[in-house]
Amino acid sequence: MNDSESNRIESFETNTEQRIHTIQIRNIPLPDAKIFASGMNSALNRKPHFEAQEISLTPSANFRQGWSVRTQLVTTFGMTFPEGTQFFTKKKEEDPPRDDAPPGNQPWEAKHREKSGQQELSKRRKKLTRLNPPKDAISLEDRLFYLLQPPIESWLNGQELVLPFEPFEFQYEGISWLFSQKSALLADEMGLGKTMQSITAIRLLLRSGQLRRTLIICPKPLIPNWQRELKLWAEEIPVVTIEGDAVRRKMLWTIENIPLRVANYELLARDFDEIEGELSKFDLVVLDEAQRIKNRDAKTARVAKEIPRKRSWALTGTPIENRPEELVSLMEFLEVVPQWATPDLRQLSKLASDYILRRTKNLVLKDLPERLDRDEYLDLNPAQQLAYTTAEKDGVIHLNEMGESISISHVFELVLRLKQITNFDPLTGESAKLDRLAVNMEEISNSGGKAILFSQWTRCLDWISERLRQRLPQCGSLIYHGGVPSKKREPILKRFEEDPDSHLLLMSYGTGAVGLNLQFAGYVFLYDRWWNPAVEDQAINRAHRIGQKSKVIVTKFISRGTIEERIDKVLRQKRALFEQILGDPSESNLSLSMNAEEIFGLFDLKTRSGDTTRSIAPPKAEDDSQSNAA
Amino acid sequence: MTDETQATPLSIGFFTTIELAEKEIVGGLLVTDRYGKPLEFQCTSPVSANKTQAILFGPTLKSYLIAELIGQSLFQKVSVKPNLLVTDQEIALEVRQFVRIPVLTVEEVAKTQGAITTQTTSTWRGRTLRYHSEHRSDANRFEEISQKLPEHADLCEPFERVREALREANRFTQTSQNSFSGS
Repeated sequence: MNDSESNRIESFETNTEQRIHTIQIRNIPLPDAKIFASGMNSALNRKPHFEAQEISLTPSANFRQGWSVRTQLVTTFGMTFPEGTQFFTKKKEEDPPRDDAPPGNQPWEAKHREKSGQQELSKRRKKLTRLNPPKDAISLEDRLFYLLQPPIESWLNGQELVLPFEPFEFQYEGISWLFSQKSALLADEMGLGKTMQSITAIRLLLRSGQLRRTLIICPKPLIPNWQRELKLWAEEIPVVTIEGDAVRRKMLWTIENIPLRVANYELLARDFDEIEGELSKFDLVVLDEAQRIKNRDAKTARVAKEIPRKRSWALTGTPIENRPEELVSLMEFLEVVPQWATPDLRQLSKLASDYILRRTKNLVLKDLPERLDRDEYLDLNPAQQLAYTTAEKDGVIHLNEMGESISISHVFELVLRLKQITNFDPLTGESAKLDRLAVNMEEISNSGGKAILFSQWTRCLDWISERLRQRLPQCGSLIYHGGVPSKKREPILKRFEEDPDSHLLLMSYGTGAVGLNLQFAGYVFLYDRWWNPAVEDQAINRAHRIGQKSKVIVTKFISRGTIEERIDKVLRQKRALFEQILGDPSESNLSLSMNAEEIFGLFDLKTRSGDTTRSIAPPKAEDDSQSNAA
Repeated sequence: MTDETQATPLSIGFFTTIELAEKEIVGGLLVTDRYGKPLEFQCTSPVSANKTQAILFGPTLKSYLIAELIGQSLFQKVSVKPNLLVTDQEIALEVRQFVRIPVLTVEEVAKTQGAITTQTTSTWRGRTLRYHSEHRSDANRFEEISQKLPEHADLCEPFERVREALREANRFTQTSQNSFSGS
């Protein structure tokens, strides 16, 4: 490139204001080239001509699509929880540990004082009992209500809900189950704390606003027991016990702002028709010893089922005492079958899996001290033997003479008379059982132990008490049976527990077999046998229950060669049969009672027809309610 | 930004999220009293980012979805305004930018990685607490609040409830949808 070319380019570059203009190039030398004659050479000598045009640029770039951050709308779902009742129970900081605290159940507050911080937290984190929605909770709100509740343990950890003892793991599960169930039959074996689990579940429901009015119905003798347990486990809940004359009872039924009422079955049947409107409605009705309504025709059962209520709980250690049909009446109360329904066994089994919670001691209480059963076979004393043999012979002859007109009640009458003689001879007062009892009680009294004794007859209990007072005054016997006025019963139990000189409590099966906590007694005597081993178990479990610290020795007196031995044999066979079919007999008390056929079978009864004789027995299908009523 | 002036006697909000299939996220906020008793619960329907959001938010997408979108919405929605918001997801700590109450994350000390001596980290009853770096005074405010908490309060436990409730709500929604489409 020569100088002139450089100048032109430079001029072009420096003229920035007129960057693009017409450029005229006047002298652009062409390189030397040989030109061949082509006929077009003149065109090559013409100067080229360039032109440029002005083009305007856009001041900014165009975008095809705009996007900016905008808050998206998020759909939400929400629910609020009922307010519930607030409890303000003061903490018992100074309470010493109770001597009767169940094994492994030390007073909770004391335990928490000992440990704190991470150590305690990590201990609690081991196992938390969460609430599950019940099967009949269909709406999302209902299901979330349960899922969002804190674990039972943390409810009870709060200052608001203090428990005297820490519940066992199975009890937490029971509380949680009850809390979630609108219909529940808690059928834990006797002694596992059905009362405590119910009370605690009621507390939680009150606190979560699920309950305002609750009614607990129990047998009359158990009223003091409920009062005591409520005071122990839920002292902050105002409780009214329905009692007194008609005017007072009406006032107690209708008084407002009382979250919890306790009434007995008899008063419920008597009073409830009189209560009207809102005051007759309850959020929860609890039937304790719910086998009381097993007869669906009875007025008590009818009234219990008629109470307007949102939740129905039944408590019993023996959901079936005699026949599976008894369970149907309880299911009617739970409102899971229609009235007068007749579910078959398969349907009952399904209902049981949905609405019954049953745990046995073997299953959950590995640490409960052993129960030692001793069958004491005793020979009757001579005078007793004579009286017995005479009575039996005369009785059987009399029955045989009755022929076809014989009924179960006639046989039953004889059985009772013979059983009474095995207890003691009414004429001479001789008694092999009393002799043995006196020997045992002397040892127990001397060692400071306590025993409870059960008999079928209150008269027999009075007789034992009188005789022991003469023969063994240091045994300090006390009597607790249906003949003792209700007001005097609770002090008797208290004295038995606290008086170091009271070593024996004489109780009737009817009054003392259910609901009482006598775990401080290490000995149980069954002076005579009940008809149903389930009732005997109930009696024994007054002592062999949570809180028992030592072995419980159970002594069953059986008079050798008498009706007692035969009854014992029948009951053993039935137990063995159920063990074979169902495993643990305590899992089911199905048909353990003796029926009419079995009671007839205790004697070899025959009727004479001309020269021939034939055995007398009721038809197999006959209703055995009379014998079971025993 | 939501004001906390209407806060009632001590209540605590527990906020967490769970991820469902197809990268959908649902969040739940449980407000309890100081004993852990539930007072109110709010949860969202499943939230997911579209492709544009995913590209543009990049690594901050999850924080945006959890803290700003879900957390803020839930906090605005609850009628019982908590005095303290607790979360078990560190990413959710960003919700602090949208509320005027102290926010902290909680986890078991045993699971905590790294030092816990920084100004935004502390321990309390066997738990590691973390605060937002721009709101260090939250630690002091929590200290005041913690005086009112019962002896056995556990700040981790309620998250199990919230997660179970979120799963239940999701199951419920799916069942309802299936029933609807089936009919």
